[in-house]
Amino acid sequence: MATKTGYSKEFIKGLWDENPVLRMLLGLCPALAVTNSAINGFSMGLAVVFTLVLSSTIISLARNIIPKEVRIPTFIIVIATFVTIADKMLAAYVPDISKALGPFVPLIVVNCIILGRQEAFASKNPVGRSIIDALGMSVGFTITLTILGAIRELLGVGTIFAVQIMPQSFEPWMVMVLQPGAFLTLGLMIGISNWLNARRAK
Amino acid sequence: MTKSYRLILVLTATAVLSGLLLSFLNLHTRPLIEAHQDKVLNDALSSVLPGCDKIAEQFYENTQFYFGYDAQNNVKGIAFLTEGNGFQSKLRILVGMDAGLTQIVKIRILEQKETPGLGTKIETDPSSKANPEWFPKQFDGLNITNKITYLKNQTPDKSAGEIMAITGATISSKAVIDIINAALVENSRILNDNNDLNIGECPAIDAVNETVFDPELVPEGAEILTIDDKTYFLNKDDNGSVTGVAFIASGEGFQSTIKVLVCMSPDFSRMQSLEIIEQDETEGWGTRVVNDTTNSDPEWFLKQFTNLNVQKVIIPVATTPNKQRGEVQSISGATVSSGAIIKMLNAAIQGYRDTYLNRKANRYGN
Amino acid sequence: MANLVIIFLSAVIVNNYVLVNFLGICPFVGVSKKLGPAISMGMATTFVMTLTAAVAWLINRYILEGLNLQFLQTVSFILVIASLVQLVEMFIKKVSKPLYDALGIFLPLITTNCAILGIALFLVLKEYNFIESIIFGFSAGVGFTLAIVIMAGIREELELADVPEYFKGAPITMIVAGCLALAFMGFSGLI
Repeated sequence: MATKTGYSKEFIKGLWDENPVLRMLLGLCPALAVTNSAINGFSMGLAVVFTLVLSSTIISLARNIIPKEVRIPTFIIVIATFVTIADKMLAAYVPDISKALGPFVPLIVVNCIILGRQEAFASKNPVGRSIIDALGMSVGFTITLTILGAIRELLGVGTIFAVQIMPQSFEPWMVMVLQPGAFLTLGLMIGISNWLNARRAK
Repeated sequence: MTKSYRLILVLTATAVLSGLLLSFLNLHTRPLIEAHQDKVLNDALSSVLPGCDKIAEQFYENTQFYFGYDAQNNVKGIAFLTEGNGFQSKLRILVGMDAGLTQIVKIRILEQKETPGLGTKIETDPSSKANPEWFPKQFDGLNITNKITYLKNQTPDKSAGEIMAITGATISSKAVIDIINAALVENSRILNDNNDLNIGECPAIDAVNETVFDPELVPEGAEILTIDDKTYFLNKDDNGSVTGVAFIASGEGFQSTIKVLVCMSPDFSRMQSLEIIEQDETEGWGTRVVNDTTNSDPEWFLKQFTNLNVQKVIIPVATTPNKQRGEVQSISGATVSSGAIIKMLNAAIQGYRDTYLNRKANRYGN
Repeated sequence: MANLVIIFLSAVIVNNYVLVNFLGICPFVGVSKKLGPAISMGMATTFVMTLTAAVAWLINRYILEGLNLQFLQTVSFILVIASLVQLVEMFIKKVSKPLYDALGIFLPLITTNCAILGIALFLVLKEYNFIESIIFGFSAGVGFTLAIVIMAGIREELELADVPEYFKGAPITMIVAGCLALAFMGFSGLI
């Protein structure tokens, strides 16, 4: 029973308390660059789930074999391998999404969330916990990106996941799907999450 | 010492495993990725060259053209791909014209990353529910005997080559028109200069059985003729008259460089045979070019080239081919490899033919 | 020559690396509190970017394309960049103490900066030649420096402003960056 609550805690922390984008300010580049629609944010999130969970599994399994001195290069190779797999799979099976995400899929390699989790968690914990931790972090990342994409798409085009939400008379706020909209929305989201957190603490 | 030995071992092992994994992945995904790229282009081509039975590529002066042929093998339309800078991104546009080069049949914007909601209207305009593609559709049937011009807030006249610009995205609209105008001027000139060579029905030729060039002879046993940078191998009968001309062509196949020996009749009107000298394609997929184990005749693909009429371009078809029309059936499942060979042959035959026949005329006065 | 100028202007202003392409956001938010470190960070990044552009182009052209190994692009670029930064750090430490003091502590941070890997990926995507790649790397660095220096200048002033409590730090930085990006949009169409 005790381990069960431990696992769920490991998972939940990534969703809110240690949410990579909103709380830890990691992985901001993709969070800003690909969230001009909900589906793009969601797909980017899935690519990160795939990469992070698999890298964490491998590195956690091999944590006693990898010498300390070369751990960073080893992590990087493992991560880069899975990122390439994700990239090629996207290009082969969902080419339209792959085109929209562009070079930001290979850039997952340098996404601090992934290397950060290997260094801080997977290299020190058993496989089960590492997978749960990776799932929590990457799902938290996915949810944040999807919400960010949904807000921008709703205000900028009037749709969410390409489904018309706003009434026909709504004049889209073009700027939301452009670069400034990304900064503004993310800034407001981080601010609001700070506020919610402070309220919860009280 | 053992410590650093272990460091190197772990890093090397990781890198080797990673490389192995990725090469397997690449074998699996690359055909899918390339098939998709082909499909995008083919879909676009069949939309800008509507009603064409076959579409063949041909290069003139390093520019690639797509010729659409109808059932009678007449050229029905010509398409080309052009690109240039839009308002904030590169635009790639596929333009289809009628065979007389007087009208645009249709254009397709293949790539653009213009301002969302404004410049993107050059491709689709979501605000116009009834006709989201109103801007590119304006080019359907547009007169191009003069330069295309654009108007604002007036009704354009297609027969005068007029296009209505997008409100709020005049620069993007203008960029599309400028790119097409510039390409039309240059490409019409290229087509007019080279037109008579390869378009339309070609004279029939008789199938002949004769001794073909033995690739084993190359290069030692053959008589070699070098013109400019091109090398020809001549096949002569006992009287010393030329019975066949061969040359080596190479090009990029699906994943390797393919080298072929092309044997031509002396007047370059038909091919005598095609031999693959060198290839390193995927076992089972691309190697079907040479050895198709799924067919009762494993060499059926190469045999198609014997006595093929090549006075015009070689055209890959999916159905039963007609040698008189220069048609060759592609290998289903390895269209990239077979397409690459045909593309390479079209370019090579044209180049080698011109050089050889012109040189011959000069030398022998005939 | 004209296209080199266009590449420069485009990477610095029109398609500013940070504000338009969203690369290098982490250092942009992290190291823009004070003007001095921001300038050093910008210079160090520009230096590494120029070097990376040259090395990445050579690797891509002669190893990856030459051996038909494009699928190893991401893996090889990141490894080369990581080792390159290490080498540069050791080299500078040996050769010039003042330079090392100015740039040194920023160099390790740069390895995981997506702007650097971004340079390598973009120059392959844009099919630049060797000279164009170097210019592109350099200009992207200048663009990054420009953005981070403007940001640091604004944030020094922000210290005195009455920002709502929950918006201090990252949120207000993002919102200011949004305004900057809006201003930079005015340049689009310049080229």
